[in-house]
Amino acid sequence: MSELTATSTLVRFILRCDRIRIAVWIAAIGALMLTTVASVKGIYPTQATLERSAAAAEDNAAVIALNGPAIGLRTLGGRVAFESGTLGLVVTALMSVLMVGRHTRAEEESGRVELVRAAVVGRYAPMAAALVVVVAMNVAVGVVVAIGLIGLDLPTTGSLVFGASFTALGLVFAGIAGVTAQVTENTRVVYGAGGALLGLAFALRAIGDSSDATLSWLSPIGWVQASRAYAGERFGPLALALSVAVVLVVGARALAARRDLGAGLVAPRPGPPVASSRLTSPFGLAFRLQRGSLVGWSAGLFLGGASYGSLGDAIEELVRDNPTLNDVFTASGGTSLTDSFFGNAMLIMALIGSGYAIQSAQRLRGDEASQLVEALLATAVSRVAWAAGHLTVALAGSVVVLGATGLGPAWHSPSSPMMPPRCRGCSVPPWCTPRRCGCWSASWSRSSASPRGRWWRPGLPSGFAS
Amino acid sequence: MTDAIAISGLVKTFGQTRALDELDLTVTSGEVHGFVGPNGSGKSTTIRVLLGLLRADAGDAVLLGGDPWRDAVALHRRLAYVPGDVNLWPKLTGGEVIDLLGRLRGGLDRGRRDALLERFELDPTKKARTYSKGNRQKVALVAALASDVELLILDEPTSGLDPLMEAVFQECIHELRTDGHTILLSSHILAEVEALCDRLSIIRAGKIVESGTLQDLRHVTRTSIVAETVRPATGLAELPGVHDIRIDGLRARFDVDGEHLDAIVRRLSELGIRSLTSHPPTLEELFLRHYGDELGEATA
Repeated sequence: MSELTATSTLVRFILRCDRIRIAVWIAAIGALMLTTVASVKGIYPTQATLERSAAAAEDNAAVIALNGPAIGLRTLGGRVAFESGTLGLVVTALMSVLMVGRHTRAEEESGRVELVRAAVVGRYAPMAAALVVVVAMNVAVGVVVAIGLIGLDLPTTGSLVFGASFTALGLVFAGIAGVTAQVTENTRVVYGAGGALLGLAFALRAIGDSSDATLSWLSPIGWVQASRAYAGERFGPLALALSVAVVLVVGARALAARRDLGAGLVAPRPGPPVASSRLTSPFGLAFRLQRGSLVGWSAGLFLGGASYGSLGDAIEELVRDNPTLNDVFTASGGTSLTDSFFGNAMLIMALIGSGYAIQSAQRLRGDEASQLVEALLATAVSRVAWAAGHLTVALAGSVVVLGATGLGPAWHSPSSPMMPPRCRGCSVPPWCTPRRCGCWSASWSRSSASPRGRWWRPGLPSGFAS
Repeated sequence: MTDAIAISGLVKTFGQTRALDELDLTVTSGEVHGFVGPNGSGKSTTIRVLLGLLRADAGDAVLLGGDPWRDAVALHRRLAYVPGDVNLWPKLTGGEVIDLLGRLRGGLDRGRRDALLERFELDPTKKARTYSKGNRQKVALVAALASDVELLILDEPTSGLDPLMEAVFQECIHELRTDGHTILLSSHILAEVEALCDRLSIIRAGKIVESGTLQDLRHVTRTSIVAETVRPATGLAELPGVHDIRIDGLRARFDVDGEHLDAIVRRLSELGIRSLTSHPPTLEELFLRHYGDELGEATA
């Protein structure tokens, strides 16, 4: 196995470099789960409350789309899995993608792997070391979650399966990142592709769980949720996820054998020899640099919005079938069920969208850290003009991103009551609800607060530009 | 002649480190000025102050008649800069970066740009991500050289170039000098400075320790002499200004201070000269003399 020589040294090296990052990931996911259990216990103190809310949730396609299949809701464990499972799974998958990308393609792109591989280090040792660490992290997450839940008096088998579902999904996405890291030369594409596939997996199971269950079987998240923690555990789906993870890793190894160090399977194409006329100002540069991420975020949130839009129809049907249900919601919240669903959905989407605003404004810090800004400021560009370029794109871009979010559901069901009468007086485009107008300002203030914080404390690592 | 750059008493500290310690530097308009010193001696810090990227703690700096901090934007229309460590936007092609930097400076000469691309053998269609260090440096060089500016500030511009490209670079600098441009060339490639510069300043630990033409600098320093004489060169070692003498039979090797050269040569001719070679100190020797004690400490 000379191809794996020095893997254990590299594993120790990664553990040394990332000991804090690794600990924070595991602790954060563990804490997320355990605090949810505590709050779920508080919300449903008696079996009667569990029964009541279970009945409501089982009929609510929107809640199912967000949380997963409504199974075992009449037990505390089932409720916990239902309310916290999806979020925890998504975070675990992200952890895998970011960590694998960081220790494979990012290292290779920076040229550090060249230095390492010139030593007595096997061909696949850097990748193997990254995978060993990420596998260990996922096992640790699973163990922390399982032990924590057992400690909070939830059934042992269910807790073990619940923890194992985190590990299994994390491993699938570690495999996915391992493969995408072979395909492209660009680390950002590894992260982007991992995130997009995670989004796709989420969307497939959201639609699948709330309508056609076969779609859920196309999604790794669907597989691990089919292990039915606390609701008649099944191990087959977890085994499926593990086998897929193994296949992906073997595939990554095969792909790695077909490419040169530093290269991807997809060769970069030549670009334009001269700059277009738009590339003449700091704003033009900022737009050009952020164009790709703007398109990506807009497309992602448009699809997210569209999938919520498709659920809007399901909710309408639900309301049509149960007029009393709508009355309950109208009485309690003052708005219709559909309204409140879209309001909440848009709030969540806008929060995700503010990720774009933060990331976009972070470019200022990134430019400065990588000394790109030096070349710009040595020309007739003032600091203000440089910052204004990026911030204008961040600001205008977040309008575009949130507009795309709103267009999603509107495109799907323009006639739906998601455009409530309240909105008629609103000056912004017709697909906007007043609630979202509020969201815009939330997203803006995030982006404008972000660089200021960075400027005052330039030593801080930029959280989103990992 | 006016001064393109006039710095006096410049101080810049980073925490405990005093990067610039009352630095004085004058670059006359129309000259190629070498700025020589080892890594970490303060070359790049000085240049960043000149570009208005850093604010000095004390002292005066005048750049093209203006204040480098306050008038940064206006001054930058009249100068071009090549950093030593060139970072480029990975998504843009080399051609795009050249055009962008040129436009941000106020326009660049298209014909000149294409001619320079040809001379430096640079492919402008490749993404910056895929360029090697030398090629990234070429991008920055073409962007700077293609713009019609009064002053070029070059911070170790050739550290990644191969010898062929180094020759092209030197040609370009000669042409610019003929056209009356001012150039501040920071470097530790001493052969390059020797070949290109009218005057030079040697910086050490944030201070200029020597400044002038290469001739001036040589004048006050020692010449190396190897002489073969008819009679053994006895008594030579006692003469003032003679250093490091080694006598091997009738052959003597030594260094002599500039002002004592005449007396020594007279003494040698009394002994009967068979052969005589002398060479002025290379810049490298000058440089090592200023840093020799550091080397001594390091090896001691």
